[in-house]
Amino acid sequence: MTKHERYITALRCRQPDRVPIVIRGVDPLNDTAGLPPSRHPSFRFLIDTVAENTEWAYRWHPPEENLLSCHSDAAIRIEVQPSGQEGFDEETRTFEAPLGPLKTIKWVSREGKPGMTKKYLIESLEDVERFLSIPYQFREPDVTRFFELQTKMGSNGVLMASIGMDPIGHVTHWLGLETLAIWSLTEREAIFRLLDEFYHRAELLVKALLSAKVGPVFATLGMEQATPPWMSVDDFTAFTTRYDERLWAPILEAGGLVHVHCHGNLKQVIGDFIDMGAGCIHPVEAPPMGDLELHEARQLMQGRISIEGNIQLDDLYTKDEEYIRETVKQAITDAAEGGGFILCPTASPIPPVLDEKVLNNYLALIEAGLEYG
Amino acid sequence: MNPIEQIKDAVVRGRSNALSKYPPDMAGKPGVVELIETALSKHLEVGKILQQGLIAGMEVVGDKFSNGEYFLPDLLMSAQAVKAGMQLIDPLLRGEDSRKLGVIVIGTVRGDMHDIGKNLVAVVLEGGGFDVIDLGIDVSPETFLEQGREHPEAVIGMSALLTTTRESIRTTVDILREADLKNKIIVGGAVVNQEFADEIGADGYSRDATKAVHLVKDLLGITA
Repeated sequence: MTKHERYITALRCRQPDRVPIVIRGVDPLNDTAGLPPSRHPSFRFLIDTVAENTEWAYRWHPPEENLLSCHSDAAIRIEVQPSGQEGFDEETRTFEAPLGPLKTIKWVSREGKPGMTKKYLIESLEDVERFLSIPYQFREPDVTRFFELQTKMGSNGVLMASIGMDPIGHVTHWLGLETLAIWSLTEREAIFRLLDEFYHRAELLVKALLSAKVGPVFATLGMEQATPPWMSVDDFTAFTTRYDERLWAPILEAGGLVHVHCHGNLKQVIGDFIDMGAGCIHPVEAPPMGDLELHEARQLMQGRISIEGNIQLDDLYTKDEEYIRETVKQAITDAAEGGGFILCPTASPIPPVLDEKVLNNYLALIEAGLEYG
Repeated sequence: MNPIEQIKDAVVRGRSNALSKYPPDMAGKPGVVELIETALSKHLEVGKILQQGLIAGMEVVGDKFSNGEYFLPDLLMSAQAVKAGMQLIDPLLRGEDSRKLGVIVIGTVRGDMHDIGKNLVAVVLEGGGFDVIDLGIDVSPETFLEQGREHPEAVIGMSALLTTTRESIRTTVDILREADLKNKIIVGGAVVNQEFADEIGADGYSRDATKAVHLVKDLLGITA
């Protein structure tokens, strides 16, 4: 099998000739496609090893910012000033919506570290009205780059088309988790109005991508903040399943597959993912980060969803090579039989620089994956 | 139900006041605020309102959250109800022995900007009857040290979400220990576990917000 065949076979819950290995966040395609380097030079050896020995995964993102279209009636003003916190700037974005201004404030790292939202865009019902008053005009995505990248990818792996966050992901992005949680009890109508709007926008995007023959693998994320214990199972169904199953239906009808990135506790909502038609879930975490051991996940997914996971990123930074080898061996023992399993870390590398210990652990993961898979 | 039990029940149901939309089946009924006003008008002990009403109610909420019966929204609504109640009784508790159970100084360590988990722990500890001094995010070891010196009886809680910032917990604990601070130290966050807590010499680790309340009580020898 080529790398592409191996990866797509496993994604579709079938048995490849060996377990595919995907090193999330380490992308050889950047070199091949002449894209700017995505990683610090300390990643060079790992990128080369990934290029040679593993299946490549790459997510192409249509050019659209958070599905928020601001045209003549609603300009965005961006102001940047020192945050008072070392290494971080404070970025204020003001949306001049027809019903009044909306503001969000973020602390953005100058060194590529994770930032934080200091003020969410939507904090009141009045903000919801202002937000929804911003005119939205769908723009046909330029898909030229997708096909260029697909050519560059060749048989090395799978190029996914990202449809970005799902509707609940967008709503959480603008409200913040705490407001979403409280409004799920007190202002449900407002949440559903926002979900309806984002669903509408995402649906236009999905249909445009399908019309342009982009696919067949689509990547999405965003629903993890509606999983228990953040939300009840009933609310996960109401806020996520009811929207995503409709959103993904045209993809499935076209023979496509939806790759879902969702951390957290999945045990109680696996049935929802099956209902939605999820094709593959990453990273399916075991306790304490999640609540599903791989063997149990396989059982619950009934051969209908493939698993991409679940070597904890934290282990790659803290454990030794022998531990990583054993963990990989166990993961393959628990999840690979019958196909539908892709070996992968639970997240992309976070620190900008890769030190030797972590590099060696990544190499141990790849070696053990090739040996036992 | 007697007035104290009614307060406890309102906390468990997450009902702050009579005007609140939540929970829908209690529309028009009094919330924590009105129930405390009534209790005070009947000269019920403030300490009893706090301990057997607000704190006891939040303990029930914590247990329900831990066993999967309650979710984050329920927890936050109850915490809001306790907060509303505390605004009424806090001025009356000043100087009384029966006031808060203890002081917690809490923060996300240097280099880490994540605060959802830490905020949740702060909310639940506050609801559990503790005075919480929230230092925020990206807190330097020096600030923890300063606060530890200022509040020698306080439990110091620190968290990290990222593998890369977990070492800041170790550094901070080392600095506090070297300065011979006697404060109990607890740690938490996605990348922290009991093994790590033991390794760095922390006094305790809690996996979630509700367990943090029990942990702090254990460390302070609070049996109630």
